[in-house]
Amino acid sequence: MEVSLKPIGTLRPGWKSYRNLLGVLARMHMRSSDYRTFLGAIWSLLGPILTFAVLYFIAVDRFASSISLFSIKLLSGIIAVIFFNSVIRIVMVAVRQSREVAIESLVPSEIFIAAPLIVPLVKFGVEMLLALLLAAGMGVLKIENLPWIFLTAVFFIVMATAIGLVLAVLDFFAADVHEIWSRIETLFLFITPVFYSLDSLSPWAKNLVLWLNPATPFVLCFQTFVSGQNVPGFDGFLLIRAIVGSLVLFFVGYLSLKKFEKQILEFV
Amino acid sequence: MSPVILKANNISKRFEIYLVRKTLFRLAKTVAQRLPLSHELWALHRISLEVRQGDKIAVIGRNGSGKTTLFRLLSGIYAPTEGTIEAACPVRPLFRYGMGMNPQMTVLDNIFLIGSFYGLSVPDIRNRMETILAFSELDKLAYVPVKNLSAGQIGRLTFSVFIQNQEDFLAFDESTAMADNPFQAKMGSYFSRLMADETKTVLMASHNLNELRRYCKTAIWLESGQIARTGPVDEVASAYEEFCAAYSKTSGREPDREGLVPVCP
Repeated sequence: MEVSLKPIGTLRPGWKSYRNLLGVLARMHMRSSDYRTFLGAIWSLLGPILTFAVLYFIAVDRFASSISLFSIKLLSGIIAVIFFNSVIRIVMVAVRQSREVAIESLVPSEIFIAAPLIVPLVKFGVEMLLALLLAAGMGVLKIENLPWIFLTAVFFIVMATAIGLVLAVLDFFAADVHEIWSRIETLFLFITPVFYSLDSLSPWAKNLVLWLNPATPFVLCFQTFVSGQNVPGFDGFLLIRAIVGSLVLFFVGYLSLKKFEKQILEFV
Repeated sequence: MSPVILKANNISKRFEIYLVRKTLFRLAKTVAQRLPLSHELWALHRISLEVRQGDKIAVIGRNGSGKTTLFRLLSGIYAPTEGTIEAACPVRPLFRYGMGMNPQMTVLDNIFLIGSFYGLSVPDIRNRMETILAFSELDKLAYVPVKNLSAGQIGRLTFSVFIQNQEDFLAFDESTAMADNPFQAKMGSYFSRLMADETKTVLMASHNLNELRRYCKTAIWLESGQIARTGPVDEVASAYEEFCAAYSKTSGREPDREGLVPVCP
């Protein structure tokens, strides 16, 4: 009796068969995070709230007079930057750890990278809700801005994931990339217009912050949509630029992962 | 005669070995000077084999001889550098214990996790939960975080979940090494049932030759990435034992390999 043989690569299970694993992994990541209990969820809000309190009291005298709705813009900026940093960190760790499982099973590395993102996503959602409640309390929340906030958030994740992928690939070839990034990420609160506005900077500094910091366009969009008023540097083109930039960078990040995945996987 | 369900044709596997994890500065310098970042290592060289449905094949060889690489190639995890592999069904391998486990989570949670890695759905795992806990003898530790288990208990847990999948082609890579005597007996009865089932095809790598003699009919001996010998398990295992004895006598130097001419088909 003859049976038809196919190249072994074509016998890999399809993406659909990993939905179950993705769901289980995401649930496990949630359960091992602060979000496993109600108190834990409250506790996890302490980070952004404390950062907000410290920056508010330091910057309120210097910037609040020139920035209207300072507290809302500050809070939404902090939430965005914390989310940005945590997504990059998680993606870098996930790519590194995925190798351990990928060399022993057929599960694609994308599953291991996507699953842990559930935690920062939920945290971001809860924290952004807090900012929206603050905006609603101050009577400035515009319901028509909610879809724009959602759209900005989607492409913000894409951008942060893309940067995480590029750094993860670099980290494979040069072991200190992780270390270097951990130093740089602490600067993002300061090199992103979170507690100052772009027009308070010199023209060259403004250009640097606007064009070289990938988080800036998104932070400006969040501040605009949450507070309901345009922040300096925001226009319709900025959101388009942010979306296009995130897609291009994601393409680069994903391609570099795919290009070097074999080396990462088969590293002896 | 049962049909051929896996065919490897002259497969070779080359790895890139990165000797030093360079810093970003060193990486840039290496790239600028156009120096190689890696060296090559041929882990397997021109292996050809056929597996028929129902075969129970032992894979023998010293550490680093290419057994795990062969299993990873045959299960599609690695792509061969040269040659082709064709199969009628996927090969489900069991390698390291503790794969994908979350040490912070409980035994119960990790059963869902490991089960999902091995292709079981959540309802399937739920239905088999009692069987898994009973087989692994971890029913009293169901709510204990996995980080508190011993290596042997983690091995029992992984093995107990793995054997729940219903694939017809399984590969075990040194899968019995972690078990204590009572669990060895349990594994023994599982393997006896598995080996008696003509619909199941099994590849089994182990350093325990008695175990391989007991469960398998034929054997492949890998040496330095090549097939040194194939045939009935008793013959191949005895030849391998002689080789190992000679190896020990020469204080780790390669013994004279005359008569060990690779017999690639």
